[in-house]
Amino acid sequence: MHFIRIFFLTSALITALLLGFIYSIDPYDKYGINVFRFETKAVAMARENKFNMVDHAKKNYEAFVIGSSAAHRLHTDDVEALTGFKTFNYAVQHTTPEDYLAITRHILARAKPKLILFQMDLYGLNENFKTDTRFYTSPLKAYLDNKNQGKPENSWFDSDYFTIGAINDSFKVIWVNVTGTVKHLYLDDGNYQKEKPYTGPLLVTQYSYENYKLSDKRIQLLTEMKRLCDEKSVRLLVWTAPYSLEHIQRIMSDEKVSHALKEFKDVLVEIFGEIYDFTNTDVAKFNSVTYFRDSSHPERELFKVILNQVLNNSDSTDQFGKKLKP
Amino acid sequence: MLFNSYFFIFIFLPVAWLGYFALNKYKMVDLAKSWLLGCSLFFYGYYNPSYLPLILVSILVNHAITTQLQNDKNERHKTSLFYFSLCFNLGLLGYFKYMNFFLDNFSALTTIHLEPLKIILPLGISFYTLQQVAYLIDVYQGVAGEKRFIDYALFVTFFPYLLSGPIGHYSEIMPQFESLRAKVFNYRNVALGLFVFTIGLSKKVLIADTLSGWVSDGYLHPEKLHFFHAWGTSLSYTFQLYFDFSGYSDMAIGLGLLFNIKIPQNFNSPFRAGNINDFWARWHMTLSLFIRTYIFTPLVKCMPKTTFGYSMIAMFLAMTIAGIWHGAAWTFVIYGMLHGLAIVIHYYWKKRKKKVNYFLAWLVTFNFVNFTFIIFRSRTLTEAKHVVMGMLGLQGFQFPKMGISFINKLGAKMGPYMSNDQNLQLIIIIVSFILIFKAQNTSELQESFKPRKRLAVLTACMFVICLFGLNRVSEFIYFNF
Repeated sequence: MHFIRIFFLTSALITALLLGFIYSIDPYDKYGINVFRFETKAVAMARENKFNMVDHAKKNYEAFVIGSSAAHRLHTDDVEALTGFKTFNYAVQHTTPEDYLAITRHILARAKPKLILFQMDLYGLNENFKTDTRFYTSPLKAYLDNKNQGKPENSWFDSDYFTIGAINDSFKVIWVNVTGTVKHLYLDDGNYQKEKPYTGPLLVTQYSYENYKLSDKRIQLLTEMKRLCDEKSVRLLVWTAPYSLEHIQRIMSDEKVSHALKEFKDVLVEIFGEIYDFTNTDVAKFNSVTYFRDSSHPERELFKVILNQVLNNSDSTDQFGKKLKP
Repeated sequence: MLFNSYFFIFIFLPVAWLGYFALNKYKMVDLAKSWLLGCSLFFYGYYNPSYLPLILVSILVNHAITTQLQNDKNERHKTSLFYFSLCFNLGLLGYFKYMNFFLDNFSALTTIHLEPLKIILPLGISFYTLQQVAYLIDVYQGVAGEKRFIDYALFVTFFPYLLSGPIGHYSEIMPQFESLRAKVFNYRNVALGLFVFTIGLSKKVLIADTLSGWVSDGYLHPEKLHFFHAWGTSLSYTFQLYFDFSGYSDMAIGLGLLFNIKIPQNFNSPFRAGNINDFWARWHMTLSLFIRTYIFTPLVKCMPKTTFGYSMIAMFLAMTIAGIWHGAAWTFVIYGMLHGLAIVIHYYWKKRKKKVNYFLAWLVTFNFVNFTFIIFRSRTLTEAKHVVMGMLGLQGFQFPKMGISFINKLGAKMGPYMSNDQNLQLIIIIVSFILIFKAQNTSELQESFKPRKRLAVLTACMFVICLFGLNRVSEFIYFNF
């Protein structure tokens, strides 16, 4: 009888110890517990991090920024300065329309936004560009499936904490705090971490348009995103992601990819009615490390230009930021 | 309902177990069996209640026919009845599993376009049909017999093996339910059951489910697989399939033991096999036994002569049928044919009495199995072709990033493969190899099991870790078959 008794007693004891450990660390900051006074708990991936930030937000955000890592450096203060709206930057890495629709649904379930600023990258509509596997393991996945959209319950048992991932992340929290390598990837309002100014050459990065083919499925996802925003009377401002001049020139020199870029813009116009085009060679005047960290990641300075144009609804005199209509 | 779910572990299983032994304790034996039958049907219908009528019809018809077969003295009448029931079972399986496959191929081969039917494949139909066919043949041959409906229905639906086997024989399972010992709490069986169940759960949750992400990732765009990535994908699937299915079988065996029922072993370290025949004697053993007893032997008897050549033809056909049994797709047909062909080649080789070094024989066998599992996993032959091309380096050869950054400085192209995530994949593949070759398998562990305190603590630790891993609940691969 010993084996069975020991088995059950040990199981109960270890479960209790592990749960006690996880709750005392509170790795996803769900309960505001900080027994050990850790400086940061930001150990999860962007999708989990920002998802939890929105889920447990104390501010009533009225504007959201959606996009890939290319929109990371768009600072919410700049949006607030122009609109007066409390803004959250919900940009996460390596996104495709699967993310965008799920994020839109999550935002609409948790907040009452008046404005969504959406930056779309060329690669995102490529059928042969895979959706990030991290999306499928993130809590956003449930929103793509249109499931589980209820308000999170204020329960003392959180199923996210009954996972191996939570054990892992609890240790990570200890590790980053004890070793002093604290790194806040995302700050308040979803803004990106503070960085040293970049002084190196403007490198071409993330040039990945192999076998570009417009994805019908992803077009449908964006159409649904637009429909949801219309239904909830949310103003949706869309623009195409800016790339450095070298990046754009490489696109233009490839017949297939330049054709894909044209199709990409046409499709976005068809879906959203009106978009701002920042993906063209007139980026030349901003082609420096002041405006770009690398060829596909604009700096805050460039976003100031973009926001000024988009939020003031001004049409550009040249191609950079030109309004495209059907 | 999944074995690897909180509802099953914390609610269903304790309720079913306590109810069964409580009723037996008060000598309500038939009620205890009815309870277990009810629980098994609930377990089956929990997924989708619409599956229930079909399994009930199948059980009712088969029971009526087998009872009639036992009562009937007229041989001709018995034979007609036997063939009718065989047609009924195979017809049921054929309609639900193969009808759309047939329509697709008919449309492709002729000018007539036939729309596919909206048929949902009922869970476990292949398993409970095989189990009933085996019983039917045994009754017809006079080696088994049962007239009580409750016993027969419990034999078919007993929840540990209902969905994915192991495929039990009536003569193996039912006498155990009748035994007095099975009706009382048996400390050793419960301890062993918990131990074996935990081993199975660990295989599934800690290894198979971890590998599944990389497998899906690789098979999503097989045309982009480079050398290392392709090997990683194919080995991940081979191990995922093994740990998933053997994990399920272990859980089923463990659950059976909790009810004092010994369910037959399904795996015996198959990847240690030195030839393909040995592999099938160790892999999905209950299916292999079924193929040998109920397909191969009758086919040999149907041949004009009992010669080596005819036996080989029968073997090839039997393995092709086994391939088709797995699913309605040409990939499964080819999988079965390749295994049939390999067994035939093995027998010819054996006939020539030429000995091969074990390592070489193992290497050939393992790689052959790994290769055929690519076909088994792929949705189309083109997909399989791309994975194989990747493994041969024909889709590019990129160095993994693991600690060899100096290659980058030399200007060599570095692959996207072997990010931190894929380092873990490599570690799990290595661990899988070690477990397969060095660790005792479940039946060896069962034989050497001693209910010691230290083992209880270790088992509890594994069990709790698995409980924390249940958030990524996934179905068992063999549920699809």
